Amino acid sequence: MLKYPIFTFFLFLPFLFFVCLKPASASFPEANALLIWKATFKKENNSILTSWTHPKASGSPCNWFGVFCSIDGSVNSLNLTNANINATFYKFPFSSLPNLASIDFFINRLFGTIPPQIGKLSKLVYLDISKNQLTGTIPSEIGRLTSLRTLHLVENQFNGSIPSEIGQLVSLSELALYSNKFDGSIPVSFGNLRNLTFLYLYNNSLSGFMPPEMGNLINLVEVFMYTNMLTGPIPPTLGNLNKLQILDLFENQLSGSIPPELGKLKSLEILSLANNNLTGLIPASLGEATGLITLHLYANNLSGPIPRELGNLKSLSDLELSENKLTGPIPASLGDLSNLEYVFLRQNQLSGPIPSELGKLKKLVFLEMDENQFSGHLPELCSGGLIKRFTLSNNRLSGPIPESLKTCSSLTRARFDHNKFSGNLSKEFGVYPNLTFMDLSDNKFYGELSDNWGSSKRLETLKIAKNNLSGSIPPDFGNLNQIQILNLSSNQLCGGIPKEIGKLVLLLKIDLNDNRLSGNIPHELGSFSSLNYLDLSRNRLTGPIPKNFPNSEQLFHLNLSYNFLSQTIPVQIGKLTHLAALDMSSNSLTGEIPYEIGFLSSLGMLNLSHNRLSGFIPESFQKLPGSVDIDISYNELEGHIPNGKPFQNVSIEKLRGNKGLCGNIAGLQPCKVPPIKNHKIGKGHKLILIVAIPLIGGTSTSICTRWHPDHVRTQKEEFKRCRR
Amino acid sequence: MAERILFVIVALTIICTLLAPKALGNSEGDALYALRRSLSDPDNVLQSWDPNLVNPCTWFHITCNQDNHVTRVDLGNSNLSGHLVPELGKLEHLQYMELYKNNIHGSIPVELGNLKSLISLDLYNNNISGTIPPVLGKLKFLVFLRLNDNQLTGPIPSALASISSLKVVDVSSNNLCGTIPTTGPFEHIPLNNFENNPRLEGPELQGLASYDTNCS
Repeated sequence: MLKYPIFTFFLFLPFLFFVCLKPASASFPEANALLIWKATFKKENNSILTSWTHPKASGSPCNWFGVFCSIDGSVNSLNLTNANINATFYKFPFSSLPNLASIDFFINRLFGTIPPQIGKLSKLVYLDISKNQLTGTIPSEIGRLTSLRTLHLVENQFNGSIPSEIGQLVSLSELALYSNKFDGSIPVSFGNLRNLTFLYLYNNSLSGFMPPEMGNLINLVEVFMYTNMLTGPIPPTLGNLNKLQILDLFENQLSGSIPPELGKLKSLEILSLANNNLTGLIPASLGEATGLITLHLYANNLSGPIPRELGNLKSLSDLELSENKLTGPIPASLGDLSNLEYVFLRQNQLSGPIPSELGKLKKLVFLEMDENQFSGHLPELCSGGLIKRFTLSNNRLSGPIPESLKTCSSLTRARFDHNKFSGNLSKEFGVYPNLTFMDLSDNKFYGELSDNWGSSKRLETLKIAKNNLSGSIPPDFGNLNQIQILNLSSNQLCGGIPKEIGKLVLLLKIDLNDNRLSGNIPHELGSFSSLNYLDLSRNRLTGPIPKNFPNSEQLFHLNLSYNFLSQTIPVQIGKLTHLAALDMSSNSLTGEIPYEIGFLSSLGMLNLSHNRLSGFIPESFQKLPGSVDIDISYNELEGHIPNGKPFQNVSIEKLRGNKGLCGNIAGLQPCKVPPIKNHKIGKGHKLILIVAIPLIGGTSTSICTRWHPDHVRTQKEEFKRCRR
Repeated sequence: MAERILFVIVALTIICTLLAPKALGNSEGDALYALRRSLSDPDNVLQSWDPNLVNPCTWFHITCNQDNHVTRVDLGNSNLSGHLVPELGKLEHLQYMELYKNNIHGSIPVELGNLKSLISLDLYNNNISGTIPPVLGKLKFLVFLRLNDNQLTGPIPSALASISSLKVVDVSSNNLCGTIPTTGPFEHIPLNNFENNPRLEGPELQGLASYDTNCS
């Protein structure tokens, strides 16, 4: 009998052996399985995974980088964030890691698709494979992961529809699929995800309607579905989501009206329905969503008034209703929203006066209400002294600028243009140390330009065109050393162009046309090397065009027409190789047309008409671009019209009124003698002039004054009026 | 840890989409802003190019017409480097694209063939490579095409000969090959506007077999 127990003991010994060693060898197949997957990784400069080698003693992978085990030694978590892994999932041990609860492979170079075997990880609670290069669809087997609480597939190249099996993930609390190429509709089965708290589907190609079943997801706190192609209405059932703090449906194609039920969302802080096709009214009930901090409804087709109930949204700091078809007035109740910082109502059909209650808003930073039909006078508005951007352009506002705006030193960008504002400009505006952009054009301001403007040293754009300004341009404008665009056109400014303007080296565009500026063009204007556009036309400028002027290769538009400029066209004009339009018409320019004009290789329009240019048309005109529109009428030119494209189709209107032009053009006398090289004759002409000038000089001055009596008289009048 | 990263990403996205009120539907401003992002601008000439403005018409170096469509981009001699972007093709009212005398590299986007109002394309004196896209032949109002002093390769597309408005063509100082077109507008382009292209053969000869130039 004794023999048997010993015998059975030895029989059982191997059994005991295996039982005792079980905990260690339980992870042995797990380590193996992981190594089989690791063997498929593409070689990278990756020292992170050197710990992933076959453990000699224990057979346990639990000390490997990124591998975590539970007490029983079984792998329960893999965390390989940002480990530069370049591999697929095809050999991932889905069947060999039964206790795996957490996978975090955020930021790697995983590629290929998610295999259906993913469904085998039945204990998975956390899955994050975001920011990889994965493709393909989500396998329907994902529906088996009923313990899954967090699913992040963000920023990959997944496509196809979201499988309706996702609706089976009843534990799911956080679902992030954003920045992929998912298409198709949001599955109706989403309505089963009762625990869903965070839903991020933005930046995909999702289409179809939002399922009303989403109204069942009463634990939702944040919903981001912006930048998709969702259509159809916003489900009114969303009004049941009591915990919802953020609803962002920006940039879709949602239609229909804004459901009034959204007013029930007492926890809602951020609501963006901007850039959709919504129609109908802004529901008054939105005023009941008193938690709202940000309300964006811009760029839709909303109509009707701004509900005064919005004045109940006491936490509101960002209100954006621009680009709709809203009508009616701004409700005075908006003045109660003391936290308002950003108000955008631009591009609507709002009317009526701007309520004085808006002056109560001390935290206002941006106020943009341009392109509406507001009328009446402005109330005090910058009471908090914080307004930076203030645009009211393109309305029907009138009256003076209120005192608080005169002292609103926080202004950076202000637009009052295209209204009927009036008042004495020198008293209406103060000094603005941060102002970079100011447009007051097309109003009824009168008075003079004050020296103040020169103290707003950050000004880059100053436009006060089309007003009734008088007096002269202050030399202090020379302090605006950041200025790039200056437009004072269509006023009644007088006096000379201050030479200090020449210091403003950053100027790109100078527009002083249609004023009563007199005196010479300062030669300092020749120093601009970046100037693109210069218009001094329709003034009373006299004297020569300065010799070194203009000096900017980038000048594309030069208009000096309708002045009293005299003497010759400077030869430096030939350097303006990008000039597209050159207009010096209606002046008293004399001498010959310089042949350097032929170098203007970008010229599209040349108008030298109504001057006293003499001599021949330079042959160099042949080099001008063939499509150039030339007008040299009403001068004292003679000789033949040069050959070449520029004159091929010219009409007689552009040539008439000269001394003796001839050529093969209808209406022009044909040339009697063969054409002789112009420059030879030119020299001869110059010789004659050198002799003749002293003789003619004396007589011609008296003749000139007799011919242009108005000119002299006007100058004298100006001298009286223009004090500076 | 990953959750924290995700939270930061979400928070930043909130800020970007909500607090920056965008000028939507202004594809011209977006196209130009795409150009700004791809250019390197040490002199800050593009500092005024603010995508939050409702249109680009108050940006410096931009000219618009009455309908707030961009007609001119004037960035010659502005110390810019980087490369052009396909989005430029969306500027359907653009008449003048002046990007000469910079350090722009990369190729001419084929999308420039969509600039149906273009009168002047000045890309000369840059570092532009690649070929002259034949699709530029669609630019039926083009008058000025100045691509000289770059590193362009390939042939001068014969499609350019179909632009009857073309008056000024300069492709000198490049690395072009093949023959010089002689039809249509090219009848009047002086030969020295093609010089300094070592692999460029002479003017194309009508009626004879084309040269075996290995040029494509």
